[in-house]
Amino acid sequence: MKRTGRHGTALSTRCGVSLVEILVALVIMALAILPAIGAFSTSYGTATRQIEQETALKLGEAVINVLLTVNYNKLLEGSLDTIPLNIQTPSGEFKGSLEFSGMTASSTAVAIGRASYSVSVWVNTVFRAQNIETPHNDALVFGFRDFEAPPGPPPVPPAPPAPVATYSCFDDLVCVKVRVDYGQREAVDLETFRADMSR
Amino acid sequence: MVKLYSTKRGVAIAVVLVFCTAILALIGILLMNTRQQRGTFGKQYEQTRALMAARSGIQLAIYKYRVLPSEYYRIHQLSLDVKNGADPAEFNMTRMMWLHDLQTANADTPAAKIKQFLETGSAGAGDAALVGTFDFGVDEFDLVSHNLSGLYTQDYLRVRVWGSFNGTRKTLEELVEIKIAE
Repeated sequence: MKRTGRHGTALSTRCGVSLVEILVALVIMALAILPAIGAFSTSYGTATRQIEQETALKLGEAVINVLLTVNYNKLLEGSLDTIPLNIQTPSGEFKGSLEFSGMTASSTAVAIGRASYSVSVWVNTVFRAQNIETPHNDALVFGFRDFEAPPGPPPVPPAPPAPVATYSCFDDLVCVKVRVDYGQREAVDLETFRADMSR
Repeated sequence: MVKLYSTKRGVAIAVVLVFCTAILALIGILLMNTRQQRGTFGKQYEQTRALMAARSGIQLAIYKYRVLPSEYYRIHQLSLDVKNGADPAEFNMTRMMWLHDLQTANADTPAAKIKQFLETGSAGAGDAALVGTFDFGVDEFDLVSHNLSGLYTQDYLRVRVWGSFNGTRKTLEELVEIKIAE
């Protein structure tokens, strides 16, 4: 049944060409698809990292919000023991607690998705309450200044307004710093300040 | 016939090349989008830190009101007088005096000390202190009163503060309910 002749030769040529075509096509497709797979992998990695970073940021913000509402005196004295944290993030729930030891606190690592998040807290006194018996210079002082321009030509550069009176505060002002570690090279650090609003 | 097959082969390779070009174009778009996304976290982080700085400003402003209420009521009374046609010069000056302590741009003020504290990273864990420039300032500090039915009046402090970190600026406004003794 072997086919010979003019048609046979033509068919045989066509088969050979198809094989070469397929091989060339496969090579070219492989050259195009391999970087595509790499690109998708990179894109997926970037998207995953972004989700983790955003989760860490939201977690830090939520912990700051919690610390702005806890008892100020206990925060200042370092007598807060355990603060439960039930924080809903876009990627999942952070269920843990902050264990205070004096002015610092840390949480156990909680896994959300593929990343593991842990929170650390530092509380630092920025301004110390003024003491009438033993005055010091670390208190929060509000000033009253004279904004009236002195007579004569204005100095160059303009001098700051002269203080007329000051008020030294009898409360501390603290800095609350929260750090969220989530396995990346850089952790998320957030800082804000809290004043005593209880009076 | 041979010529016909030869033409078909050319078409096949051309089709493969078109497909490959399309795939490479899509990869290019994907890579560009991925690269654009890389900076978004940095911006988000800066915005959050700017908001934290603004929140510090709000705490400082409300605290100042709590320790020096009579000073503020004087400004408030002056603002009422201005609304009734008085000269605004004294009001502007006393308001400027009130807000002076609450701007990081003014040296030797509590706000400037807070800025210094933030930038030197002395808030514990100093090894990871983020390098950057913090700024905040109180734009508005008003007393807003709502007359409700009967003789009931609800008073609020309206504080508008801007915060910035490395030039990224965010504004925060807070309304705090207060009770003023008659």
